Amino acid sequence: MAMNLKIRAVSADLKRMGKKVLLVEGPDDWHAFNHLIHTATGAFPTFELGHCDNDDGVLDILSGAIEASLQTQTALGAVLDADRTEETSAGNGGIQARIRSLQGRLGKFYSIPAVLPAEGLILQPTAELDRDRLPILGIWLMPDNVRDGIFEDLLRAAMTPESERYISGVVDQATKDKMTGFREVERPKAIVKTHIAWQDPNKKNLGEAIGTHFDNLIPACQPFLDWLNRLFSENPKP
Amino acid sequence: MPKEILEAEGWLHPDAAPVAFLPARGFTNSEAKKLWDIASLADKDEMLLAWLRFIEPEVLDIRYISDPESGSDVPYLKINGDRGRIPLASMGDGMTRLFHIGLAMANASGGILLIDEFENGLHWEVQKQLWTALFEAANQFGVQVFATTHSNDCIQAFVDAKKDRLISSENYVYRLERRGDDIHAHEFSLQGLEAAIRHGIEVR
Repeated sequence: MAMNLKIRAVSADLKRMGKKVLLVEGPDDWHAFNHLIHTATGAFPTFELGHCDNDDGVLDILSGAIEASLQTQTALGAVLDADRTEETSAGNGGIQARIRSLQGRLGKFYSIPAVLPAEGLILQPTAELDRDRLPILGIWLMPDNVRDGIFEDLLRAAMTPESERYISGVVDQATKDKMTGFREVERPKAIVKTHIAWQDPNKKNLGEAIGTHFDNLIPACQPFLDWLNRLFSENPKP
Repeated sequence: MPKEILEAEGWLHPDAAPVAFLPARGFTNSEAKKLWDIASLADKDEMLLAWLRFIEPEVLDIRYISDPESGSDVPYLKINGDRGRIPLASMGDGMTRLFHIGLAMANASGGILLIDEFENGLHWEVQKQLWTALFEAANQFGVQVFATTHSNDCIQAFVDAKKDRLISSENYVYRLERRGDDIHAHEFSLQGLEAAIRHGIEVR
């Protein structure tokens, strides 16, 4: 059953949202993760997704929520890219910079380690006193909590190896021939979108294509799906 | 609450620093009059005028005059350019609240000032300036101020003043939270509090 794509991505509004919330960067991510979960489970998510416009928005809402929360959420997750990009207030990119900015924003209440576990981070508040007030916190840094990268790097792993190799080669050749205009950090997006365009030029967004054109979707995304399951289960296990 | 009452109740050691308490409803007229007399005797009336000029820059003088109808003494202001005197009460709730804050401050010199529902009677647009003025006066008089509020506008005004460095970084926002049988004071970081307000996250 395909999801209704006409619905608009929901922006994060923690005052009105339920007890279990996943914050994602932008509207495209919101659609993509909804479709991914739907494809994997055949059902809608058991938690609410809210987009925050961009990565700075995720960090800002997260730090506001953690500072002010009064049992507003029981489990609060955030998915962020760990790409090397131009300098932003969140740091100048890369997974180490991302972890440092999370430590800066949330370190007062959660002990964020310098190296994240590959299976995704799930934490209780550090102080016993805060455990009634604050949610279980989940952090996933795309693609795999270890490498620099973005969600599309995970989707490259969801393509068949032949497709991925072939399209990467074509994209690189086009770059060499000066036929492209994207920045190096956007290379994974160029590969994934080329792949989608070649399968079905009418598919307009990632969400729409996720369920149909990524043969290795579930195996590639299994660690991420497992993290969501653990974070939003009845008894989250940090 | 006047120090004498706190002492009489045994809540305050006679040598303790002065404590002034401004209730949410403000002072009664007779309480305000008593505090005004004490402040005047201590030569603090000029400071109180300076404080009132914060909202009405043209205030020249303040004097308690017997009200023709009730017979009780009420504060009248002399305003530059106006003839005669006008009752303070006729200038709005904000002016009366400001007068009461000033009275309490003047009577807390070197001690502690407690203000319940700081924003009562004060228009939200002046609250940022008022926080600034309050802490300036607190510095002048060596007073530590504890102010409570349930108003988002009031918290926002405090955050704005602090962000613009109009008030020192030594002023903090705490939320009192019930934890079982205890009450816990949660200290907000400026950055986190700002982010929460910006995204409509409840901070109260």
